[in-house]
Amino acid sequence: MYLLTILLLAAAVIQTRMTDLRRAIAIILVQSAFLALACAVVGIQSGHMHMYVAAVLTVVIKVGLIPYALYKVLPYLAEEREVPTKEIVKANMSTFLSLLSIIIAFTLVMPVIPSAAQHETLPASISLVLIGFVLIMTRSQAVMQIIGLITMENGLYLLGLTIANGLPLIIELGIFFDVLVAVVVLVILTYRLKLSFLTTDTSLLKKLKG
Amino acid sequence: MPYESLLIQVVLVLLLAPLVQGVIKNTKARFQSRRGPGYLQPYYDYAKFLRKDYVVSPTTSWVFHVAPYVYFGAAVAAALFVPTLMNTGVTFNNLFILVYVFALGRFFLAAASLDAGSAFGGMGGSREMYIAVLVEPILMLTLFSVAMGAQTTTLSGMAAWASGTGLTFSGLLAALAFLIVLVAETGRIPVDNPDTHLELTMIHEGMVLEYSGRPTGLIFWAASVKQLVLIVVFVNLFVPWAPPFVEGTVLSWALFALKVLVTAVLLAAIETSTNKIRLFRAPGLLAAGGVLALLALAAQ
Amino acid sequence: MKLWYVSALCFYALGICSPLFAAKRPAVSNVLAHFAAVLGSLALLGLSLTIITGNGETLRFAWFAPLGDILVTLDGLSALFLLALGVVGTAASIYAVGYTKEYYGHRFASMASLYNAFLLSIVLVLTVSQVFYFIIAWETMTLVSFFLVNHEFEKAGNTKAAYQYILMTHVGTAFIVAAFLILSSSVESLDFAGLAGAQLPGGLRNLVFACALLGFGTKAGVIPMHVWLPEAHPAAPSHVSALMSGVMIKTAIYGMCRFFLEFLGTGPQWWGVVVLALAIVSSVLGVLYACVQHDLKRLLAYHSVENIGIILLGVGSGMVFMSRGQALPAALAWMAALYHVFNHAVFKSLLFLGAGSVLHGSGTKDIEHMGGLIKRMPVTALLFLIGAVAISALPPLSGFVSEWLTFQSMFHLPAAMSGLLGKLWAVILIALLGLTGALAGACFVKVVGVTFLAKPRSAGAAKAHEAPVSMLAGMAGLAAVCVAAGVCPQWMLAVVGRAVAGLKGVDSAGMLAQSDWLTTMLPLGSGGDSLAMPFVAVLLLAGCLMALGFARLAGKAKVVTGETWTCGIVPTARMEYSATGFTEPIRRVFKAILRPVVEIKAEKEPNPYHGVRMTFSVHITNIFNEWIYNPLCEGVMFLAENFKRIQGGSLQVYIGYIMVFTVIVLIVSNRG
Repeated sequence: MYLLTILLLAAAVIQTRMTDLRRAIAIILVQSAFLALACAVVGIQSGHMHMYVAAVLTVVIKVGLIPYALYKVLPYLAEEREVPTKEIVKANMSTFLSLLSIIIAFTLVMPVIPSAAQHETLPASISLVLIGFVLIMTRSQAVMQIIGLITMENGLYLLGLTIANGLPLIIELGIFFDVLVAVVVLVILTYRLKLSFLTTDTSLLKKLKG
Repeated sequence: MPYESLLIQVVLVLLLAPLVQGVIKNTKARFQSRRGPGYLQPYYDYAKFLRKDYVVSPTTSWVFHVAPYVYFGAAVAAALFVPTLMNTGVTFNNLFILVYVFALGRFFLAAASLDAGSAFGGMGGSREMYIAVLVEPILMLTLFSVAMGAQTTTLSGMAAWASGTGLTFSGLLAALAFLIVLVAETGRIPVDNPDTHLELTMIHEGMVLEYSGRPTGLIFWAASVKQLVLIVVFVNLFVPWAPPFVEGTVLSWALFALKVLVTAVLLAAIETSTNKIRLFRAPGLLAAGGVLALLALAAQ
Repeated sequence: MKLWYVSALCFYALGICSPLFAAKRPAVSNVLAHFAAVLGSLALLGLSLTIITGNGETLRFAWFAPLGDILVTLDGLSALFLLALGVVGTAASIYAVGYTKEYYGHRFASMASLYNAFLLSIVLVLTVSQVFYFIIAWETMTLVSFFLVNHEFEKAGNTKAAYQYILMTHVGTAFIVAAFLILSSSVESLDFAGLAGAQLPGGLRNLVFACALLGFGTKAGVIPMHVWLPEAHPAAPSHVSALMSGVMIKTAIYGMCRFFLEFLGTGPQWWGVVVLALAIVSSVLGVLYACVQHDLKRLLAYHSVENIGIILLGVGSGMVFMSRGQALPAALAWMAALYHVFNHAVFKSLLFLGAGSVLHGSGTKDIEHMGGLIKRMPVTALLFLIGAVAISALPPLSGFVSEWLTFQSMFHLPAAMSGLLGKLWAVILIALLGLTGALAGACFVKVVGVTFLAKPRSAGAAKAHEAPVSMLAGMAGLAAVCVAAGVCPQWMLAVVGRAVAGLKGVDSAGMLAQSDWLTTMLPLGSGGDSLAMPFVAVLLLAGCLMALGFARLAGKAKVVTGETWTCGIVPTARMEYSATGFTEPIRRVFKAILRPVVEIKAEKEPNPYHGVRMTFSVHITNIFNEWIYNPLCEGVMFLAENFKRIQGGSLQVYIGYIMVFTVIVLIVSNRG
């Protein structure tokens, strides 16, 4: 479990370094796969049947459907890479911020957790959420922002796993479909963005300001 | 309900009102070193008016014809239920009804003043309503200073209370306030001038300028009835040296008549000794009345 | 009882649907919709009479409703307001048959349908006794009336008026919702019956009072929350204005009754004093502003502000008496307020319908362009005059009775107030109410005189035509009620007595105990205060007959027709006293409040020997807009400008806000 947590965090941090969207999607795929594994591990530990179902759903949706949809949208986006120099600055910034958020999460949450069982998992999940924020904040590419959203969601999912040995199945289903729909909507929006502005750089949305 | 006393009262008020008007006119003339018309002159005037033909503008409508009758009706109704001469036993002789019955007559007369379509009538009506706006609250305040003490709003109850308590400082202040209201409400100097139709001075007389002949007679008669009713209210509430109303004895009749006459002479004296103030100074005078009434209330 | 209620609702529902099916044929949908509205209103009359003569009842409709059962309470208080709605609704619907013909082809079907929806929503507001459904009904009423106000959106200013209306009332609704939620969360019940027993700590109770007063006060048009009212009421079609002014703003009084009589019960004395202060400001300023208007419908709308003030004077005195534990005067004050609610509903609707006839006949709302209409529209003129006499509180019509009751209840106010200042304040209130009455009289002399009398001042007025029979019939019904509620007030007193019967701190039965069919005897003070309206009417009639008799006795006098003397020139309408001129003295005396701005423009002509054309106009400054609403608007705009800075436009910045907030929440939760 610890190992998985560390891997999840590592995947998230590596994610911040990515400039190539294709690789970024690959990494989110790997991250989600780790999450599914964690889910299964919890299932084995607690013996709850529905955890397996959740794990399978994670694999289907987060490892399968979402990356597939993202890959599909990529060809429509001509310049998949951002301007390298700017991108490097952004990547450095996001890595720095994500490390900072891990520190914040651990210093804030560690002291108040009494039980030893999820001692690290809980702050790790919160830092995942924060890294998701960082990704959305610092990256202007729409696809990267979707990836940030998924990272955040993974963090929340991990939180649920660690606190309550998984949420009730119905809630998990709800969250899954929520994220799925969100991603689909975002993919469509990204496509529209491309059509309207000839780019998916969301910083152009500033023009809409009132 | 004692209908016969009601009937006696209204007949007496209707008959005596012109006399009081005559006394005021005559006294005023004497104060001004004129011989003046005889005491009975208003009777001759009103009788003549009632018999005369009258000219009506084709611009007017039925409101113009009806208004004098409503005005007269309101004055008579006031004379009927206000315990003027005797305590008639009518229970609803309420101060608010008194104020609003007069307002009814005024409403119709002022509306009729606009009917002939001349600027003079409209000006008179406008000014009459303006004075009424200022007078009505002050009139209520003054009556209230007695009603609060009596803990009733019936005029008979108030009169009984006033004669029971006798003259007080508070009563004196209220009497002064009521005198100001009385002058304004009967259209006398310094607020209005009852003797002219001149554009600069006219209020009440301007309002009825378009009337002639019979309606004029009714309006003048009704105005004198209204004047007598107000004087009697003044006498009953603020001149408390004897029991209010007349009783069977000759002495009470004489005393009552004396009080009314003295008030009439007082009105004439006020009219002679002051001059007409400008129209827009009237609020100041009436506000002084209001302050006096409030002081009277506070002094209780 | 349930049958009456359901049938009224069904008729209105029918009236909502039917015009939409016949949208292509306005004549058919006109008859269908307004016939349904008449039937519905008659059913309401039946319903309210059943309640008054029998006992109240609570109906429970356990339908699919998601927030609990729908409760409908039909008690005396509802019955009084339903009675007013029934009377006004019947008359306005009959009137609408003729009046709305003008609207054929102008979204007629939607107007007829919305009119029925408006009636329906008012019925629901007055009867539903469950918090959520009450608020839903309340909002429906606001929305429907918004659409009706905005019906003629082509005319300049109407849309602005409608939006101002909905904005103001929504702010009001927020306060109402707050008041309800505080109450219902304390008793954990959404039923009105449960709210009555709320035991709140003092501070919270005051908060509920303030919220209810502000919320309902906005809807009622209490100064200074009145600014929407004189804009919205003239904008609506006249039969809707009649309903809005006559009944809709009274639903706010209904809400106040529920709160101050039932839910909150007896409060501290200052509650009553606050209500009294608002009331007197509303009545005096309302009538002052009315005096200086010359748009007929706007003038009437300002009179609604005034009359709401008079109603609230009764409400406020009732609350003061209740706080002193004086059940008898409290009953008198509440009864006076409710009596005035009914009276105002009737005569104000009559006047609005009359204004609609005038508008229909002469094509203008500006009384400066009217004149002489009494010759062209004699019946309308007579009916309008009846309304004018009633609203000026002149005997023997209905306005006088309720004003007399208000005066009588306030007469006992000084004794209930503490301290010399309190007593003097109470006395000044009475004097100011007297001032209000006198100003209303002056104002309606102006309206009647300038609108209906003398010569026509414009071509439109000269060609004016009498309204069709249906419109006159609607108005005649209301005029008859005005006379009936004035000349024999006993039946109406019984109704208002029934409305407040059985409530804590109010003894209406004791109040009416000594009255008979002729005399209303008040068992207060040193006794003897009474009112015998039939007798007053007879006396007035006797006086008029006496005048006729004297005239006859004096002999035969000839009537000679002669033109008005205007110093030798042919009199024209331009020599008549104008409405602006008529109120000039009042404008001058109250210039500190009205702040008239006079503008005289002289047009220069090339030929110096010809007269110069002068134009004179007076503009009344609206101090409430100037002192309260304009600064408020500017403040809001300023804040909005500054808030705009945090709108970076960049998605990342927004996400950044969320992240910073998340971290802050984490930190705070850790500290806690």
